[in-house]
Amino acid sequence: MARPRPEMALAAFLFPPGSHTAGWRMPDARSDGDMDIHAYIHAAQVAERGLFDMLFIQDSAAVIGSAAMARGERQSGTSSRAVRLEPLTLMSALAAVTSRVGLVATATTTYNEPFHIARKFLTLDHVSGGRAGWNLVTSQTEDEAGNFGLEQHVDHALRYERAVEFQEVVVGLWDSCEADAFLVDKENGRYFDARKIHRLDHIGRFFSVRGPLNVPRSPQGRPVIAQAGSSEPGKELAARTADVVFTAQTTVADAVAFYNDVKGRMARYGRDPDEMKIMPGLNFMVADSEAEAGELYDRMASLVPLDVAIQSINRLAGGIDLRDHPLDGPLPALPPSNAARARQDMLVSLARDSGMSIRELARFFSMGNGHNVVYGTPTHIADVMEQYFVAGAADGFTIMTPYESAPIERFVSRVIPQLQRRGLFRTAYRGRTLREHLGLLPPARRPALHGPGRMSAAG
Amino acid sequence: MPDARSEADLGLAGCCALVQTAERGGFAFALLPDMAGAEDVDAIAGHDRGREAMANVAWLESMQMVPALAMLTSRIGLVATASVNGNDPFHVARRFATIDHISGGRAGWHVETAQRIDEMRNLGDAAALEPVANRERAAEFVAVCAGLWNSWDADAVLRDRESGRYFDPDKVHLLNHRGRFYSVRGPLNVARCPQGRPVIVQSCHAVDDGDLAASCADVVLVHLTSVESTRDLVRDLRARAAGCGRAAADVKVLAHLLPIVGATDREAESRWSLLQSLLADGAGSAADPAALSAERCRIVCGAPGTIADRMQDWLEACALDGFAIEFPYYPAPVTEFVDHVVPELLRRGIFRAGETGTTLREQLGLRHDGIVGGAPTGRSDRSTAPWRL
Repeated sequence: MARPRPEMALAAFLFPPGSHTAGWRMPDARSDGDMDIHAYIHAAQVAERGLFDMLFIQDSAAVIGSAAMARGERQSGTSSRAVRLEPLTLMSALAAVTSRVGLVATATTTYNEPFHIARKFLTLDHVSGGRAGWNLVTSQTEDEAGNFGLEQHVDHALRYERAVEFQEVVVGLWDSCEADAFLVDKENGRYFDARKIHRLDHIGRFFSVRGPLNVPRSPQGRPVIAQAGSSEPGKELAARTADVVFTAQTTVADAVAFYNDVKGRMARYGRDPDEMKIMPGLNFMVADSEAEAGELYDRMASLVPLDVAIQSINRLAGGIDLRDHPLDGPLPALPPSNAARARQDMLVSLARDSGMSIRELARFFSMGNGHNVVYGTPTHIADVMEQYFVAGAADGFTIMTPYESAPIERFVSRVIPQLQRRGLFRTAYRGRTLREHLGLLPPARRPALHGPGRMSAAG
Repeated sequence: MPDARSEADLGLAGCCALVQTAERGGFAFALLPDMAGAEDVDAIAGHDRGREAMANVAWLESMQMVPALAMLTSRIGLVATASVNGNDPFHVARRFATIDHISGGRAGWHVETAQRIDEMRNLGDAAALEPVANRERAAEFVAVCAGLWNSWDADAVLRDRESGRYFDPDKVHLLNHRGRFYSVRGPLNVARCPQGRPVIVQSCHAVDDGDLAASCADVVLVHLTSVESTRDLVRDLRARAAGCGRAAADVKVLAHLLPIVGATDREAESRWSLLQSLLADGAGSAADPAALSAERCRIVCGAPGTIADRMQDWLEACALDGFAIEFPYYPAPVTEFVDHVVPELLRRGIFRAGETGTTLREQLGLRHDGIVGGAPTGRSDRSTAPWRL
């Protein structure tokens, strides 16, 4: 596939207190990376200094492990995924202290109202001067269900049906106000032109939303939409609606297959492949030598308490408890998971291809949550990134600092220059909005698809 | 007005300038009202020219504005509005706790309990509840949030690198709330906030609203009607609060006030006439913009000294704790009030600007965590709400 732009896109991933579940224990890690706004401000400013397209913050609307707490299971208190700042709220604050870097927050379609989500992200877009993005996810943990009145969490298929309708409503609402709807004509006492403000009148299976959205049109036309699902319905939804796709890929071949699969579906929706950026995750540590990289890997792996590491793959085990099996033995056959289906598939195929034991898989997953892990010299890391990029396996990467903030600072000061020298990454921001950074034109305002009483088609 | 800018027009920069001016003037907090939808949507759809004259059709969501304002201010409290209708208590609790952390303890939640038709149609269009049920739901919603804000003891998060213990499980508490309207397990995934819990602000427009306000609001906003009825309302509120086991100092009652300031009384009056004529021109058959309706908000016209005198009169006659100042438009009236009326209030000794504390609670003279009965970190009964009607 011919590459129209020689430069890759980069996202700085925030998963408090770090992508590595125990990275916070490293002596040079910030201890306040979960709750202190200054830690987040620093992360944002480092990313902006590094000319990243965007910050991307993960989310879950629950303390990880709270369902287990409710069942009376003894908690060790070693999980670091316990408290953090709420992403959308946080991003508005970060908007005030940055000027260029995109701000992509995760918000679930499973436990939210589309009107609220549309409103919050469009407001963030205004507050940031056109840098907002919504990472659309469905909720996949048992932990979240209990906070929203459910005994157990929503079935996979139903989650995706709801997500499809949810996304349609949000995008329809973002189109409520035309760009020139606000006249502010003081002479004639006419603040706005009512013909340029449109109700949505959506009546669907899950939502009934009249509109209009009471926020002016986005400075970038429409906030960016990112998605991360790798299941069948996830890929289909992404092909239809996503500007950015996050994915977990651990080999070039798998990544190319995924890339071609998703982009190949776009034509069906009248979209050009260049309208989407696929950005697989990359966990890393920058070392001075290969030997040091190996030492760092072992050291980081050893920081994870075993029960925490096991927990990170137990939630993908489809209901069985891996602790009932010999940890130095192979992964047993797993019943299908109602949680992250694609992640379970990846776990199974990684187990099969690598021959890793349960213990080793747990370590690998807890070090990177199933994403690629590359510890090496700046040259080596840049080589791996270039390899994926040139092979057509990625349009860019989601850079996952294992903890705050030395690793990402090192990445900015030592890997970014490598990429720039190779002509693979920008040397300055050219635009102000997230769409401009990503090279994604704002979509034309859709003609009125929604009339009164229109039923929404799913899928 | 020639120099007026609408809220949406202002954007973050403009809104920030207003809030910074208020901060300079020693205001305890800025309150951003909000609604999930434009009002009077039918008039928009009908291309009603009167509706087109009114600026309240698009603005920026208050809960997303406040965190940005928190970065750009340092002392003033920041109160965002969230409705108990069409929202999840877990999300609301989470967001306000986050704002409290980001702002260093300056967060407030203006609890909106009204069932507004234009909003409801955007959030699923369920039938409105009967007033009694709506009040019950509001009370349960606030109680759930209060319970969630108690999820983490102040010393629960350890982050002990040596041992690998991130938190002490004995200091984290499930909520396990199962009520008529909500079922929320918790815990909240935000550490205990600097104020213990955000300041709760509620409007009390009618006697019926009084129960929820009396039982859980830190700040109650009332309207100035006659001296007698306002004084009775305030007295009644404080009595009801006492009935819930709350001290007099636990509730601050502020009255809405819309000052029209002029260099002289006459100049203020002619300014008010001009505003009214502009309103009459554009309004046509549509409803009055709420801010300029004499029924909705007490309007005081005059020179700075006159306004300060009237404020002092109301304060003393009705035993108020202060005022919620509204402005006819932005930005000039905000600056005028700060530059000309605030000094008059200071001179009369009825207003004290300057630092009295770092958190909003401290500024308002409220107890640190506002928890009724019992120490903040030790509760015997965690599964029920701290407040009862």
